[in-house]
Amino acid sequence: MTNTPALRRDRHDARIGGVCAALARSWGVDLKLVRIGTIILTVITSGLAIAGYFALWLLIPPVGSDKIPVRRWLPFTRNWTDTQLVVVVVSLSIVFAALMTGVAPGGLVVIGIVTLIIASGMHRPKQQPTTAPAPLVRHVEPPRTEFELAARAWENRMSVVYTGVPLHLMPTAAPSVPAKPSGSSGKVWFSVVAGFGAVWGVLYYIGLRNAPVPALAYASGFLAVLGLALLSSVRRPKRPFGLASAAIMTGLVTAFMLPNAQMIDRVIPESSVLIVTSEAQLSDSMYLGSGRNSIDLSELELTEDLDVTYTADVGEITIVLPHDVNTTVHSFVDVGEIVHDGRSLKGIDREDTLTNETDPDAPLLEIEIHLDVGRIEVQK
Amino acid sequence: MNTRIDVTAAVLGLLALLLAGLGMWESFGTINWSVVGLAAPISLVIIGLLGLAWSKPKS
Repeated sequence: MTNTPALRRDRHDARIGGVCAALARSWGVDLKLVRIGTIILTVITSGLAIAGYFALWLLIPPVGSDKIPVRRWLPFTRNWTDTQLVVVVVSLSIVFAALMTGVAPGGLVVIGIVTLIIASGMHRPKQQPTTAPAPLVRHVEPPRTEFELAARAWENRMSVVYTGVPLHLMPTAAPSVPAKPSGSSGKVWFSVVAGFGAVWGVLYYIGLRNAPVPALAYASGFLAVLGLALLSSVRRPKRPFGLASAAIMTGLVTAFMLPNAQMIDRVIPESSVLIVTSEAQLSDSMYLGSGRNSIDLSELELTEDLDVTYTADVGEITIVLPHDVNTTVHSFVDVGEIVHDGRSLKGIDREDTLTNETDPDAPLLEIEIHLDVGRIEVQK
Repeated sequence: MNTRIDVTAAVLGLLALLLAGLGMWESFGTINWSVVGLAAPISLVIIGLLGLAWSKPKS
């Protein structure tokens, strides 16, 4: 199949070098999808895709030209074949990217394959126009009557004739009446507000009847409403103002609130198990870093009141409280979960206090735990 | 109907629903990450292919 247009960079659609626009036109896909795909590829290859972008920028000619840009800037390459040029540019890009990012060859293979695929589409034969150009006369308002529709069709036909287009290329079908907008974006937003209210009400009702509903449920509910609103508006002539941005922001908030102990279990290995049995093993303040930390105080014996602070960045802290000591635990987590004796609290900026008084005359151990991201669990 | 589909809105909407479902699962239960590990890439591939199919110009 050679129906797809040749790769050409167009300055009018360009954000940086026009590479995404050239790919979108050649593949016949939405330009935004190609840009989003490029950003995702850049992230998952730790920036290596940028090297691929510049390789394509050097290799794809601009619109209206067959000259490869790198040949213009480096005259000694003009004697090389296209294949030699592509191989050299891609290889240099890969070496440069590897030196800059230090990423393993896996990511390089991605860029190499993508670049070669694109390079193979650079020299497709130009297609002769098989349809007439778009009419020169444009109207903002849709036709109101059949007569106006016919008049505009005739107007378009005449404008094409005046441009010198052969008769056999003239459009034969009358222009269709544009579909009326099915409603303003305000209506969609009213529906979204109603959806938010419904979600809020349902979750509040669940919270009254059962355990408290975490903030994540509200964020997810609002995100679902925005997702449904986006899906219901796909056939609208214009996307409701701000709907996509609101969905992206809510999605980011939801994704930010998702981390929990099980996910941490999968990405962070066990780092330390500390068994504390005497006061001498306790320090006022202890930094645990990142990882899974278990601190077993179950056999601890105290002779006087003591304050201890544990601080960690990412991971899980599990503390088993002593049996014969009065304890007060203050837990603070920026993002994640606090589980105090089976009671769970999830979300952002969470704090909770657990008091365990066994004997009024026994010494008091006061523990403060600060964790940035992850899970704090305190077991009696 | 000759109306074009807003592909960006469709893809974003589907992704939002997937993420919302994951959030609800975590809120009212315990996410089985092995299931998510299998379902997430498949879903992304399907949504990506749908986006490509919808954005193809109609002849």
